[in-house]
Amino acid sequence: MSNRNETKMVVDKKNYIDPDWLLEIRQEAKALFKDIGFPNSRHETWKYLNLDQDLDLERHIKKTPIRRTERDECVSVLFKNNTPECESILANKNDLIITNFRSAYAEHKELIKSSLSKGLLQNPFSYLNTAQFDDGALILVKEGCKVEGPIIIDLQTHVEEERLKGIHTRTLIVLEKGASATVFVQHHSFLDKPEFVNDYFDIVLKEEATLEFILTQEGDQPYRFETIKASIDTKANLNYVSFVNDCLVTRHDMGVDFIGEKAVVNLAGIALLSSESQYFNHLYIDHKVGNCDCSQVFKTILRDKSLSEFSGLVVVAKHAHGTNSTQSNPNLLLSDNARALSRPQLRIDADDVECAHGATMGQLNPEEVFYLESRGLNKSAARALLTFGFAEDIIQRIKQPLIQHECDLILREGLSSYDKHR
Amino acid sequence: MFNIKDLKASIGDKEILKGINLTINPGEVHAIMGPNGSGKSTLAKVLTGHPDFTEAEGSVLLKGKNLLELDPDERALEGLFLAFQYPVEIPGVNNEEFLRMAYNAKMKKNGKDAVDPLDFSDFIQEKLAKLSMDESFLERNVNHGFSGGEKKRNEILQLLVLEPEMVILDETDSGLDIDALRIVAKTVDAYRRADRGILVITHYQRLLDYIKPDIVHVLANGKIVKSGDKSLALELEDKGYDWVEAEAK
Ligand SMILES: Nc1ncnc2c1ncn2[C@@H]1O[C@H](COP(=O)(O)OP(=O)(O)OP(=O)(O)O)[C@@H](O)[C@H]1O
Ligand SMILES: [Mg+2]
Repeated sequence: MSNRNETKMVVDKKNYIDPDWLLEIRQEAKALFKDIGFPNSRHETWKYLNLDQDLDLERHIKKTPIRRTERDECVSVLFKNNTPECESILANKNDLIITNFRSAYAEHKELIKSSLSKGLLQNPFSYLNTAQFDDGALILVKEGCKVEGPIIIDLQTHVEEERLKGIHTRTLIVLEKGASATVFVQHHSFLDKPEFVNDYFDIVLKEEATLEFILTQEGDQPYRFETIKASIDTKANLNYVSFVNDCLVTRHDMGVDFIGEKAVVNLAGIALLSSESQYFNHLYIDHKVGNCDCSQVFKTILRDKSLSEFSGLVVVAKHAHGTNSTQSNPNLLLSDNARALSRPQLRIDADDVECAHGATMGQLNPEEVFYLESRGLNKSAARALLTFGFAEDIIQRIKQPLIQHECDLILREGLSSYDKHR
Repeated sequence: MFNIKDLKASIGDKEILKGINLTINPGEVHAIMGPNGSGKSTLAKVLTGHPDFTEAEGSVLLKGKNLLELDPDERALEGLFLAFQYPVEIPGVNNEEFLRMAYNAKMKKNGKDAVDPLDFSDFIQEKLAKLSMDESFLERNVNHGFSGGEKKRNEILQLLVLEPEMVILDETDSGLDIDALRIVAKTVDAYRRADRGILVITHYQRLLDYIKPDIVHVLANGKIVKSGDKSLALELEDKGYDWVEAEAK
């Protein structure tokens, strides 16, 4: 850590005020949010999530177990509620910069400014985040730098004296040309009162950059909203895996913009849902340019009265020839009272495009159950193993071995009660 | 040891097995040949308890127990094993882990302790070597993305791990290349033992060159229409099935 940066990082919290340009952006975002208003069921993309519903929220507070793996190799960013604690963990070298926004407004003004003003999804919570976030975290991987171990973003929620008006975290991840990194997001909750959490990740991949981004969520705040916006330039590569382990209400809004050709984006996710959990997964894939590949595989396993909604819109612009975009949404319904809604959509204005989409709803495949039984596993063990395999198929898409192992353990733990089920 | 009596099975209104009788004594190898669609795989499925055929009539005794009254896993634990014609792919389930679970189900049935992953790993290496299979097959998911021949070999690996007493091979030879066929067939032949029975379903003589059957049966239209010694297989290879079917009428 260089001295130069260390001195810069000391920010006087009490007397801090946002720079003028930021205040302006915040004003605009606030106006946009007011325009749309707080979403309700009359909004098409918010049809199934009734935010006014009278849920007994406190009943649903679950503390997240603290998880640790051998993390000697990792750098991490710790958010305590709204604020990233970058001072203590700064890996401020020449090729990897991790810093909080306030320390970076001067040096990286254009980067942050363009993210805050342009990197928005048309989503009320993304506006709200821009208007409300306190400080943000910037992860900047410089040209050609290959970051070895995973970068961990630990989003922690703690009790504060004053009740918070929601928690809005903001993270900007920029990989310059040819850079590569793995970012692992996890949540830890130490709250005993329900809190509304609204996280925002802006991902910018320049030419030939490679990012693996893993987002996990566990028994946590009753409302957790995640917005992920990714801009993908020429020959860049994004491997995204999300893992939702039974949170009460989760909404993911993900937008991917292809802005350079020959980029490859793989998006995958698994959600385990039980009791009254609800998971809303909205994707917006914009093929602005051609010759890019995008695959989406989002799976859910639903028990009890849980609900999932998948809405994926793929747009292929008129001149975006040679686009290859696939989408699939297999749902495993383990209870008659669970519901899975699926709306894969394609809007194609170009020729010479390969797109496929599909959703499946259902039970385990009886041929697979029989195959396992024929080797001596009893029916419930066979079912449990297949349910595990259904989810593990997604976890295996995580390339970083440490993180894959960690997610695998969480999955095994999460499913351990399932063989007693049906 | 294995005794099939007047076995009938249908799908909907369509009767597929129309009264099969077959006895396999300890140490014997029987082969079943027959035209496409004659019911060979159906017989294998009925014997192992496939959910499409829970209403089968007749009886199937393995060492005196009526298998038709048992669930598929119980049949397996009684020592019955089918190498499938079309093994299913199971994404997300690690091959070695699955093999260990199946092995431990058998250990439990026999009142023995489960083996831990490390001991199992040593045990399985030796089986892999017998089949000239690469270790990487253990790390992959069950049959997932395996080629046709690799799937067949993986079935035989399971056979070696589970050591069943009554083995049914449903067209294990199809899909295997010449070298793989020799390796697999020799492995199965070496598996023969005075207390084990083997039923080989095949279309081709070449498998039977390695695993010489004691008796060859012809299944046509849901019935065993002819049985003979191993020369029958050669005769069928030469003349096809028409004459057998004509003779049966
Ligand atoms: N699930 C099913 N639904 C309808 N018909 C079926 C089903 N399973 C088998 N059959 C029919 O039963 C008959 C016997 O099929 P089976 O698979 O047993 O033939 P086979 O002798 O194994 O043929 P092959 O040599 O091609 O493997 C065929 O006519 C087949 O179409
Ligand atoms: Mg067959």
